[in-house]
Amino acid sequence: MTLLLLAALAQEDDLEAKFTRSLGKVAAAVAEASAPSVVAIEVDRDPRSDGDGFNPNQGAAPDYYRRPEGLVSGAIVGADGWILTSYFNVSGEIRGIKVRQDSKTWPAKLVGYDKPKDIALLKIEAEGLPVLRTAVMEEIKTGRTVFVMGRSPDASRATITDGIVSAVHRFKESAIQVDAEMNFGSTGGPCLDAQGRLVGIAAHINPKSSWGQSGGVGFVTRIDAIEGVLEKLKKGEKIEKAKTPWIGILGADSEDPEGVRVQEVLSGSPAEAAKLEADDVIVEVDGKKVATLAELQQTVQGRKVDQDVTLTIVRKGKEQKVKVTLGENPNE
Amino acid sequence: MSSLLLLLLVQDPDLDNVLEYQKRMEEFCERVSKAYVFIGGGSGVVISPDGWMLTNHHVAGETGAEWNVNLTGGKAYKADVIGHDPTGDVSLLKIRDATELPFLELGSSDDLEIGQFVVAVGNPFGLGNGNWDPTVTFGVISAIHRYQDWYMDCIHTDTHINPGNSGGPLITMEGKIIGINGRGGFMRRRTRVSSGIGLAISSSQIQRYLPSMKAGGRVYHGIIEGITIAEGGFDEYENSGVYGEGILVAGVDTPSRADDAGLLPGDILHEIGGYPCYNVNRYHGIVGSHPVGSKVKVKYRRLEDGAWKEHEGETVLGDPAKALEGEHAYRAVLYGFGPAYEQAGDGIRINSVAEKGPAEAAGMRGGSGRARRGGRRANRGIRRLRQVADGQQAQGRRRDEAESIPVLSPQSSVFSPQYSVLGPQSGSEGSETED
Amino acid sequence: MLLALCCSLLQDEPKTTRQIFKECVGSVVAVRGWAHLGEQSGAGVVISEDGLILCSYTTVPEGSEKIRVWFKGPKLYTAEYVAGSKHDEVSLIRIKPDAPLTPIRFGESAACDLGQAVFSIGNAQNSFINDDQPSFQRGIISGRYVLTDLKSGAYFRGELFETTAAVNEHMDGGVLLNDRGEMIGMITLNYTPNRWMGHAIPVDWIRKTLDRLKHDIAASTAAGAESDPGSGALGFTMKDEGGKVVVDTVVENGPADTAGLRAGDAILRISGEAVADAASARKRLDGLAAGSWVWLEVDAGGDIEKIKLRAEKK
Repeated sequence: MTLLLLAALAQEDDLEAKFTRSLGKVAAAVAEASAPSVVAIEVDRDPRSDGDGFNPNQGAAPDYYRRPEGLVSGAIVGADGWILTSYFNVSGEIRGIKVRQDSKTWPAKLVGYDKPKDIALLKIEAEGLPVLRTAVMEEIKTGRTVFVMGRSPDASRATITDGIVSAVHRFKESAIQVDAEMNFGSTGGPCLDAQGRLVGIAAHINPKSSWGQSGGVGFVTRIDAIEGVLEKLKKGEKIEKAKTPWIGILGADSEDPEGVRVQEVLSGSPAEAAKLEADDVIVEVDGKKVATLAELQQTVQGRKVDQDVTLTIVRKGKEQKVKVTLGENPNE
Repeated sequence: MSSLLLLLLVQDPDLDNVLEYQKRMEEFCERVSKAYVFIGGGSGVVISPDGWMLTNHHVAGETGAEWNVNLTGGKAYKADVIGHDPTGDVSLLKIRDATELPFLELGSSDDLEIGQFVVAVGNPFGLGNGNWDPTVTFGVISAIHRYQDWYMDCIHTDTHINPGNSGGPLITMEGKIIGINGRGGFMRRRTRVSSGIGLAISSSQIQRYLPSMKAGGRVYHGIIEGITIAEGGFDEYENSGVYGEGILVAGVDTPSRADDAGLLPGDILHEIGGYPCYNVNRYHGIVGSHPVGSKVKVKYRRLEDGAWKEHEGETVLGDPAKALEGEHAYRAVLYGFGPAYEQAGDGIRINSVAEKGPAEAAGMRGGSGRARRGGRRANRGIRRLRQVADGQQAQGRRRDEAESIPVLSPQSSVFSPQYSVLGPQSGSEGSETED
Repeated sequence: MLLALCCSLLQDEPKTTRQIFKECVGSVVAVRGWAHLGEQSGAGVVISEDGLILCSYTTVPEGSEKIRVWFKGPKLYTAEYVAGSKHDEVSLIRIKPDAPLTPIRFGESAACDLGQAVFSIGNAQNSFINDDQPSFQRGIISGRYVLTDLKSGAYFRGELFETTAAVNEHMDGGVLLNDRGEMIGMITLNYTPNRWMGHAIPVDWIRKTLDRLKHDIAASTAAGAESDPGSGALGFTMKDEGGKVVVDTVVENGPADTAGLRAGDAILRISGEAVADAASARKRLDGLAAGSWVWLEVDAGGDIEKIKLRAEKK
C-alpha cells in the first residue's frame, strides 16, 4: 500500500519536475516567436501636463507616484502598421509618438482610443509586419498559464513575465486579471497564452493604481473586447465613456423562484420598452440560469449595447420569455 | 516566420507538459475557489461543510461580531465570530444556516517542503466585490517557521499577497490549507503592494488553537513561566559558544513552570514540543504558537562533570497575564505576550521598565504608566517593543505634555499599527486602579 | 567516462523546485558585516571547498569588520575580507570551515534564454540570519538590459538579467540558479522604477571578475590575510628611466621597504602583466584596496625576483 502511495507521489513529483522545466522552455519559445510583434513606444510629452489627474508636481513623492521615464510597450495587430497600446501610455499632452524595435524607429500617429478599456490604436507606415494569432477567449479560465511581454527599458530587447490567470470577470467583463508581473514599462504590451496566442493587451496601469509595480495584480484587456471596437478605432473614434449595456431595473436576489426579483422598472429603459413588471422574477438570460443579481449584472455586462437578449421570467407563477434590446446605461 | 515557429511549438513535448499541468491547474483553481469567502475588507475560507470558517483577526475582529459574507459566485450568508486570537491574528466564524458547504481541510504546515507549489485565494484591492470572482495567485514556499513582526511561526511564500488577501487560504496542490495569509513584506518599495513576500499564519499553529476557539471567546498564547533566556543581542549570544545548538537558559525562578521542567540556569534548551529550538526567534515561535495550558516536552543539555548530559522535562505553558504581576511585568513587556490591557481595563499598567531597554528608549516609565489603544490592540504595541528587544530599531518620540508616544515598527506590513503610550500622569502617583 | 555521462544525464534530469532547493541550499550563505554605512546584511555563495565565499560588495565592502557567515543549521563562522571589486559589485571573503564545503556549480549566462526557468536562494527579510531559513524564490529570466542608474547601493553598471523571482532587501549576493542547479547570476538590489523588477549580475561577468582577483586569492591562501580597512598604499614611487619603469623612492618601513624593494629596481610586471610606463603602472597600483596583495616582477640589478607586496592603509 505504501509502495502504491510512494509510486503515486513519485509520479506527481515527476509531473511537477517536467512542468517546472517545460514552463521555462515554453516561455523561451513564446518569447522568441512573439518578440517580433512586440514594439517599444517612446512618447514625447509635456511633463507639465499629464492626463488623468496625474500631478507632476509631486516633487517629494517617491518615484512610484510619478509616471516613470522610459519606454512603454505595444503590440502589432495589423501587418500594415496598426499597433495597440494602453490609453494611459499616450494620454496627456503629447508632442509626438515613436514606435521602436531593435534599431528601427517609425513616427506614429494616435488614431483612436477606448478610454474605459484603456486601449489606444496607433498607426505607422510599414508593411509585412508580423502579427500574433488570437487565443480562443471562451477557453480562458482562472489558472491558465499566461505571459506578458514588453519592450522596455531597452528597445532592442523584449521582456517577458509569467503567471496565471487570477480572475476572469474584471472591468465589466472587458478585462481579465493575471498575476504575471506588470509594470509601467510593459503596459500596452501583449498577453499571450502557452501557445503564443494573443489573449489581450496589458492595461489599467497608472500612478494612482496599485497595480503598476509588478505586484502580482495586473489586468489584460481582452482581445475579443478590443476586436469589438477595433474598426471604430481605426476610423478615428475616441471613446471617452464606457458604454455599459443595461436592462434598466432595480432588483434583488429571489429565493423562490431562484433568480432576480424586479423591484422597479426604470422609466425610459429597455425593461420598460419590453414591458417587464415589478415582481417579475428573471430566472434565465438566453437560456442560462441566473441565481443572483450579481450573476444577472455579470451576464448583461458581458453583452453589448443594442444586443438582443431573451429573458425567461416568472410572472404570477407562470414562466414566459421576454425579448429585451439592451440599452446604454446612462448612469455610468 | 513566426507562424512557422508557432507551428513547431504545437508538436512540442514541453508544450504538452505545460498544457497538461495547465488543465489540472484550471480545475484545481475552480475547485478551491468554491470554499473561498468574501468578508469585509478581506478574505476567509470554509473549513467544514457545516460552516466553520477562518480569517484574520484584523479582518473579522472579536467574538460576537456579526458579518454578511459571500461565497464565490455571490451566495450570501450571515456569520458570527465564535473565537478570536488577536496575538495569532486569527478569527474563527460559524456561517449560519450552512449545510454541505464546499470546504477545504487544514493540512500540516510542519510537513511543508521549501519550494513546494502553493496557491493563494483572496480579494486584493477588493477587485472581486460585486462580481464575486476571487483572485488566485500562484507561487512556492520560500521559508517556514519564520518570526516576522508578530507572526511567530509563519509561512513565507513568494505567491503575490496584497491588501485584501488577508484572511484567505494558502493551499497546497493537494488542496490542503497550510496557512492563512495575513501580512506582506512591503519594505522593498514602501508601498502596500506585493514585492513577492507573503506571510501566512501556519496551519499547524491554528490547529492547536481550534478546539479552544470553537469553545468560544478569546484564546491566549502560552509562555514558559519563570524562565529567562539569553536574548541579549547577537554578540553575547554568538560568543556564548552555543549558537545554533539551542538557547541558553539564563535564569529560572523557583517555584515556577520552568522549574517544574527541571531547568537550571546554564542549560542549553534545544527542543520544545518536538520542534528543534535553535535560536531565540524559534524559541518564541514554538512557545508562542502553543496555547496556554499546552503540555510540552522540553529537551535540554547540561554540563555535568565536564560532559554534556541530555535531560528531558515537561511543562505546562502558562498565561502571560500572570507574568505581568509584580517583577515579571517588565519582562512581559519585553517578551510581548501581554494581554495585560485587559487586566488594566483599557490599558496596561507598566510596573517597571528595564534600564536602557527598548521600552525606556520609547519613553515608557514605570509606575502609573498606562497604555492606551491608539485605535489598535494595545498588546500589539507590546509586540512592537518585543521586536525592539530583538535588536531592531526603536523610535520613541515624546509628542507633547500629554506625552502620547508613538512606538513605531520600522517594518511596513499589511497593516502598520501605531500605538500610543501615555506616560505617567503628572500628579497622580502609581494609583490608577483599573477595572 | 560512463559515470561522468551518467552524472551529467542525472544533472540534466528535470527536477522539482523542492529538489533544486535541497541540492543547492548547502552552498548558499547569509553574510553580515560592519562598514561605514553601519551593519549590512545580505547573502553569499560558496565558491571553494576550503572556504572562499562570493558576496555582494554592497553588503560587505572593503574595510568591513566583524564579518559573519551563516550556513543553514544554523552554523556561524567569522570571516575575513580577501578581495573585492567595487564596480563589479563583488566581494570575496574567507572562512575556515570545519569540513570541506560544497561549492556552487557555475553555469553559463551567455547560454541563457529569455524566458527560461530560474530560482533564487538568499536572505529575504533576514529570514536566513534571524530564522535559519534561507529564502527560496522561483521565476523566469524576464529581461536582459543595462540599468544606467544605480539604486539601493548597487555599483554594477553592466548588462543585468531581469527576473520575476522575487528580490527583496538583504537578497543581494544571493544566487540565481538555472533548473540544473547551476549559478547563472548573483542578485543585486538595483532596479528601475520603469519596471520594479528583480535583477542579477550574469555569472559570466562574475567569473571574469574572479579571474582578475585570483592573484589576491592565491596570496591570501598563502599568507592568511587579515582584513585591513581604508584604501591601500604600497610605500614606493616610480619614474620612467632608460625605457624602463624604476623605483624612485621607498617609504621607510612601508610594505615595499619590508619586501626588499630598493630605489633603482626596475619593475617588469605587475601581477603578471607587463608594465609599459610609470604613468600606467601608477594607475594600476593606485586602485589597490588596503589588504590586497600584488606581485611585482622586479629586476634588482640583474637578478629577476618576484616580490609580494601587501597594500596597507593610506
